[in-house]
Amino acid sequence: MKKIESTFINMLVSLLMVCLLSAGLLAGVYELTKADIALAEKNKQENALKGVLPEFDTIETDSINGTPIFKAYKAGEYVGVATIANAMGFSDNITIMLGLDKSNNIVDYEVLSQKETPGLGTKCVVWFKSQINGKNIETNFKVVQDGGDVDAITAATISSRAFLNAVKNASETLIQKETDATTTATEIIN
Amino acid sequence: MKKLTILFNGFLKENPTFVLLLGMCPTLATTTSAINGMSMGLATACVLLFSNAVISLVKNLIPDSVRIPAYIVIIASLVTIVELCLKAWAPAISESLGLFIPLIVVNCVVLGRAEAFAAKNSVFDSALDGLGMGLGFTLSLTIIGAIREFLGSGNIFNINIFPEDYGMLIFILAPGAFIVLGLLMAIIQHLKNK
Repeated sequence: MKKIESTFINMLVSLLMVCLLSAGLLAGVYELTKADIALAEKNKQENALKGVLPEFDTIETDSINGTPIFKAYKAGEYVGVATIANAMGFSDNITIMLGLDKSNNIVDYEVLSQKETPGLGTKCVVWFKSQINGKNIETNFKVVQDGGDVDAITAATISSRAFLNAVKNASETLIQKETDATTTATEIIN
Repeated sequence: MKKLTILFNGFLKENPTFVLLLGMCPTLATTTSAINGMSMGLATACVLLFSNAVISLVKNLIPDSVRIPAYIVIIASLVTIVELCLKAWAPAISESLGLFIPLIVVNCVVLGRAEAFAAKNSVFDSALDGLGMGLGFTLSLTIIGAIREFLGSGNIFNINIFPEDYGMLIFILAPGAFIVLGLLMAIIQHLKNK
């Protein structure tokens, strides 16, 4: 079968058909995968929350100054709160999810996204767990180089500082929430 | 041309990475570990198989002068479909490959094989060629990824072989990619010339 001649009409029609068919196919696949993609996103967030909060069965989403916060309840009782915070790292923003228990001690954190140097700044994903987990959120965390107690990642001081900045941003959001939480707790007791 | 010859062509004789030198950008960027390289290779193989087949199917309906834009639209649509499917059913892989999945569109292996083979051969042969090239690409990416992961962090496929502290960080970074690729290319050319 000989190839179609490159006349103007042929070129127009063939390109039109290719684009129409592609658009149709893409729309179809988009519809097909829409639900599963939304589910995957939701699962991702839920798994992150499960990792950083004490055991819970309900989550109440709220927001303070545009930052989302997740209040956790178990059998109707408040057990903790988590928020998402970020700070500029060595290459790009480091985004973390930080969770507190009801005494405002850090339960755990999870790094949601970072673009730090592989093998160096990327260690922030686990490096600080032993140093900040269990401590009160109002602690002023600083690296040793800045006069504090936190051991920075070897050869990745900038990433370490950025990580602690993110924790500080999280604490500012959550302390504001603290005031509200106390109010709510009082209401429940009454 | 025998069907099996077409299929195995992409493994060694015309391996896209070491012989044709196509698709260097994703090769260097996604081979930071064996599993990353393999995932990228398999995603590309999937696109290659279908793009070669589809383009071979419509090769006589698309006038010569507009074949490049037409092929690109077809390839881009296929890559977007792969991207959506990965996001929906393999979100972990989608996250670790990130930006490099949409970049399969401009991977020269895909357009290169479309022009060099699919535009001139039957649908079945083109599909075989796409699959063979894709698997060859996967093979080379996995090997490069395994070497870089092993030398850089002591793991292969996340299985620890020697303590990470003794790894040479450079192999996980860009310069290491070039070094490993160059050395492997030299070795393979030497073996082929024997």
